[in-house]
Amino acid sequence: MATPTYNLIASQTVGSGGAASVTFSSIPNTYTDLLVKFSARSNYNNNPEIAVLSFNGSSSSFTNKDIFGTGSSAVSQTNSASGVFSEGNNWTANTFGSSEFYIPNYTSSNYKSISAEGVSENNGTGGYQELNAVLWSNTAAITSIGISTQNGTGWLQYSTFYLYGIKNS
Amino acid sequence: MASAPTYTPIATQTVSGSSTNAITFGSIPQTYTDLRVIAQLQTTSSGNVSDMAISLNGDTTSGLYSSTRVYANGSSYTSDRQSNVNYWNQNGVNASTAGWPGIASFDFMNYSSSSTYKTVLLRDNTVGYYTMMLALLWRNANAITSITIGANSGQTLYSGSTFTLYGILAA
Repeated sequence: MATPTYNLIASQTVGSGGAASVTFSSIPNTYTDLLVKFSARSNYNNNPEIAVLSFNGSSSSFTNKDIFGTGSSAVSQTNSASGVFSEGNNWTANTFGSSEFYIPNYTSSNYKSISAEGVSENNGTGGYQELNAVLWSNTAAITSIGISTQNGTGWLQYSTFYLYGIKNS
Repeated sequence: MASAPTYTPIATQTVSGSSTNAITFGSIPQTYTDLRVIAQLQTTSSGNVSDMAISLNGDTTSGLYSSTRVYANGSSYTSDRQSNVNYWNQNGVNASTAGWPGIASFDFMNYSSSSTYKTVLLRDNTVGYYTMMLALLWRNANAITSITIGANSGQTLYSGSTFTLYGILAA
């Protein structure tokens, strides 16, 4: 019988004073896929925040196509960055956005395809939800993952980030 | 006491060569609660985007499949559905000229039930072209024992396309 897999590689919880960004480095190349899940809130005085992905220290060569809903309308956009919705700091206190990046075959020598989802919620009076298809046009194996805030305000205390490795055998 | 680990790889398939139309996970054990398939795939269909053909238990004739989806291309969005078809094939997959594979994740809940129709959540990224989410229905109460995912008839899967079936236990 196969061995269960879906292993926590590393986690980070933002402490008092916040963090400009979060980075998982020295990622082992022994898994098949990677999954980053995070519950986060930024210091951005607006909503939603955009959690920006970087690989191997670079946030270039990303493109994405998304769809998001606001509760009253939907929009689809093409972007040259790799963002997914998270929570800003002017909505309900103590509320954190929920987001994830799924990264299959992260050690391959092909371009990397990423599936992303994120939500931001404001006490039932407003919210955003997003589905996103992301492409990183780079053939390098992914050895580090950074997650920063698009508006540069950084992550607030109690934001949590988890990196999981998933094996296919 | 911590629960036993779950999310177990049951089987994985990597396409080699140029003649594979579809892969099948057969003889699926009935010992899990839910199933998950993660696929990174590309077809040889012409153009940037085509469709996957997806069926369960070898059923490609009953007309018991239907699906509803919402999808977007980076500037506009649409929702549509298909009903009473012989397999699911209104979705999306990166095709021959796309230049890279797309990603699809399937969640089969309560797949071993012999009393309920089967519903599936499909999160489908035709990367570079579309992002979409689908609700799939197979109006058949049989337990799912095999899953087939492939290109449309007459087309093939790119070498290197990968498919992994995971089992998830509730306890």
